Amino acid sequence: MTYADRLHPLTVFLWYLAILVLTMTATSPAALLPLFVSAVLLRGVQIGAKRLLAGVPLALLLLLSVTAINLFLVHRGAKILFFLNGKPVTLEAGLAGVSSGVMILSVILFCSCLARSLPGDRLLSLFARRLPRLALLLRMTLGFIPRLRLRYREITDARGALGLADERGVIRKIRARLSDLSILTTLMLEESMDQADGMRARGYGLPGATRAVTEPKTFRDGLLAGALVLLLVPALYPLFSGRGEWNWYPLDTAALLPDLPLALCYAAGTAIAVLPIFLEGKETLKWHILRSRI
Amino acid sequence: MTTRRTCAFLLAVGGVLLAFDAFLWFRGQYRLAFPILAFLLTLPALIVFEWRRTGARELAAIAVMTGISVVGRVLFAPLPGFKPVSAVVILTGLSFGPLAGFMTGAATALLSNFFFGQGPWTAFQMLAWGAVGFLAGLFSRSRIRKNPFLLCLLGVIGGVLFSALTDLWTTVAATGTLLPAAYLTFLISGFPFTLLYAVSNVLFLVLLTRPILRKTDRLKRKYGLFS
Amino acid sequence: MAYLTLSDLTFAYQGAASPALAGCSLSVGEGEFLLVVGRSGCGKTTLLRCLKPALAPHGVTAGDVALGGTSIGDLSPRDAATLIGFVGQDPERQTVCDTVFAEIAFGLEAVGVEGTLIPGRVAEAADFLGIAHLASRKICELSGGEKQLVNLASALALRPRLLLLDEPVTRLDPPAKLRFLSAVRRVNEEAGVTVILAGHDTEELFPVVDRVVYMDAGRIVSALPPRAFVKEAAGEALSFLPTVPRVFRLANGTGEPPLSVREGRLWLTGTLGGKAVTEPDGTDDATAKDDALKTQELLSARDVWFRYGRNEPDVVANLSCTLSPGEILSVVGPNGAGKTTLLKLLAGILCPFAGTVRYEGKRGLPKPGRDGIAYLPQNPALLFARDTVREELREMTGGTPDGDERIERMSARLYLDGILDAHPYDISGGEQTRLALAKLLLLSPRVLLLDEPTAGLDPIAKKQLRDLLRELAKSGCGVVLATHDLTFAAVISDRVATFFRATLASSSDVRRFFSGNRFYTTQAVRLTRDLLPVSLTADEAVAVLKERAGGAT
Repeated sequence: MTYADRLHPLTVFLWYLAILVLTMTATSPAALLPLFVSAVLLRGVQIGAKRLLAGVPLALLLLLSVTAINLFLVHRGAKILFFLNGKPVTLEAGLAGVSSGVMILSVILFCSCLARSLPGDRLLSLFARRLPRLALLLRMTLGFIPRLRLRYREITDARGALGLADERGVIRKIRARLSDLSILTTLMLEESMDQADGMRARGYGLPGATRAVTEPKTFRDGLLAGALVLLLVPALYPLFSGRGEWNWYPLDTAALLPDLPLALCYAAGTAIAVLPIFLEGKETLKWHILRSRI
Repeated sequence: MTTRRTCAFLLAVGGVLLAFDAFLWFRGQYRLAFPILAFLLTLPALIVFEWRRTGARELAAIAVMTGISVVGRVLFAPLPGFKPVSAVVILTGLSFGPLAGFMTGAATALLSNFFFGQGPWTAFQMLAWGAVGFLAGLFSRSRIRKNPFLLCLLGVIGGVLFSALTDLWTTVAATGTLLPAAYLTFLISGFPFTLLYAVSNVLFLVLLTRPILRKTDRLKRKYGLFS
Repeated sequence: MAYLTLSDLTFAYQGAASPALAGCSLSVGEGEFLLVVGRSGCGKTTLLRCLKPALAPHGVTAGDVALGGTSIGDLSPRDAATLIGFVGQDPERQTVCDTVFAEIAFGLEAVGVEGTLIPGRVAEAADFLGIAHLASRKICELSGGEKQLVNLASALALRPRLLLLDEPVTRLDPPAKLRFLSAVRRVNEEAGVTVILAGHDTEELFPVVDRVVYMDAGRIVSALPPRAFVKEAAGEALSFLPTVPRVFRLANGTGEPPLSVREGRLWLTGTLGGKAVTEPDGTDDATAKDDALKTQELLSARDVWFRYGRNEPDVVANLSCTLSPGEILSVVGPNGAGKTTLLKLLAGILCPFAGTVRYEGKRGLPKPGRDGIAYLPQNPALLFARDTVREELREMTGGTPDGDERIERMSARLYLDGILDAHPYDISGGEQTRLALAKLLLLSPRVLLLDEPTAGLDPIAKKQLRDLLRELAKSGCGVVLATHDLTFAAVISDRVATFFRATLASSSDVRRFFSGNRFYTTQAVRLTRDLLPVSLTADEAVAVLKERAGGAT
């Protein structure tokens, strides 16, 4: 049970959507860095430092490769480091690469945080209101997946026992597997027609279908939604006004530190990303305290 | 919520996103603009899917095909480049038509990324596989749908389109813009995988199309599916 | 006052030569509980489906079905969906969603129950059936019995007044079967819902239902209260009688027919007039037979252990068993205990983690198929890859010159000759089992491993299967069957073993096994225990009774 579990899925979804939009449009280091730090902290609070550290090598690899891509493929910029094949390799391109890498890492981190706060099941219940048929399709597929795996195993076992899946020869083996796959398709399609009957028997397709309300919106959701709107207005201001638009080529070191209004806007954006850390962190702490009292 | 209101809502969302996307484009915020564009391109199919009030049997059939391709993607995950997804999606399109093909592709991307990790790339994968299914579906009522050349063509397109779209995202994400040189580099460096996709697709299709289409045709006749 | 009226209902499938239903007339009172029996293919399923507009098959219909005075064609789609509930045969195949809650809520959402009321309605239905604790579980984690209760709950959540159940328990093991049927009984008695159940599970249902509808070739032959049905039954209808009334009828009993074991024993005590025998169960000759069989060994497992993953529990632990040529061994036990795994181990499909499986004395894994071990999965359709029955059989003979001749012989032997050009998915469950068996027999196996071969078979198809297996055993083929059909195990087996706690708990001669058990045994044993020499089947009990009657006169 985490804090997000007690919120309406829509609140959680919108909150993370805002964070992702801010992260993906953050160009200047001053806007991106605080978001990156919050992403790391939020993920750390969710999964613990140990598992977070385990991901560091992969993250570094990604960072390095993105930097390299920019270094060797983007040839703009004034501070030339060296020439490669007659093309300039610039400091700006390298820095832009690092920034891109950090941005991608933040997006990946926030996405995995979202997946944890809003597991598939809850995300689907959110879809179900607005895209009822797609949501139903996804639900049905999720119901089918374990059965498909089971059936595939049963089919390979049963056909194998017939001696039809002769182990000699790669081509024969592939053919046997493909014929198993074709049996699986036929069998499951045939079975799924019964499913469809079950749906029609219970009134699928009638006009005026409703959705079960399992998670009513609470006061807390309203509070958070209000806070989100209030914070988003300044946080999105740079994007819409174009103020503080960042350009790596050429690098303007003086602009690294934003002026006060811009800094406040960035702070609002950071606040959106930081709040979940506190809410989830508080929860973890509470459980620790509760456990130590038991 | 009635179907009409659902579709109206989706159209409204599409409109707002379109405006926002145009604005992002104008600002040069390609990192966000591209995924939104990809999502916007999948939206029409989603709206039609809701609007047509897809029947229970059709829904069940699409769900089975989606399930098979998701399981295929997960099972074959350790083997890079060898993914039955495109083949299954193409077969669905050939059997059940463009919309079913598109939905199978899009739903596969969406669902399998619950296992592999969601992100902006999901939109590109949905679009790529959806488009392949849609394309194959255009031939569902044609007499040449079992033609080996068509199958090879579809298989290759399936492989290339997937690489092209996912590399598009990689390029934009890494460089912040769609730099032709960078895009080309990604395409070339990913070529062996693309080739592998294409070859495995063609192999799957050539071997599976006849038996599977025979079976889905029978199903369509017996249950009046997609008629 | 009839609630449901069928007047002269006739139905023919598109392009079919003869109608599937011919002039069926029936009136059902509100709150009645009807059992529909008959051979598979007699029109039971068609009849049930014709009563539910959304499931009505495509074809030509004549006559009328009225529910509460309105023709069901005139019911609004919403009323048709809510008033008439339907649960089908296969628990796996009906669930639509991934979680139990979503599943039960599905119908409520579809018919437009207000969103805030749905959780309450789901809770009500689940609680009534005692499955409230499953609400947040994933469907795929449930057992077959639980799934079927979820299906029932999904139908009940819509608050139907008529419940149609099409062979709802044929795929369940005995405890799950009883649980489901007692739930249905509660729905009928406590909620007053009219129930029409089609199926072969007469043992459990005869004492409970109000009327038994007997169908043959698309016609309703009779619709009588169970006792009257027992009295009137003649010809083929006799094979649909449960054990106790069957013994009563065949032994020419007089008076009111008994339906339950309790009534049966009272009747038997009365008939015997205090001449009950309490001779000890004759086990001596059985042991001798046991020893004789053990001399030759066809297939054996010694101290076999198996689990599906390193950190998973043992499915088979320290198990040993042997099979001799010509012997039929039944493995009984609940579903999900590992019977299927045991068969797969013996078939060489799975490899034991420790211990050995020997085939014809040779150590190591037997090579499946061609070497003479054949395995029939629970769902025979798993074996079908082709488009006609003939093609299926041809797949097994390959290109051998005498192939077609062998196919001809095999199809005649297994009564498949009429359906050689049909699609394997379009034939009945019994025919599918026979087709799968035909495929296996074309391999000329020396060991036959069968997983629940009787599921969904009508009594007559079971008799055919019994004769076939006996014939095979006589020709030296060893047969292992995993089943929860105790009556079938009692008629067919030489030896019976219980699968319990990942191993074979006891294995003994069939007579000793069933006569030794008090509860895990057949109806016939329960009926005759302490009154007659123990009889395993109804026919045996009848023979004993007739002999006595003959001796008395």
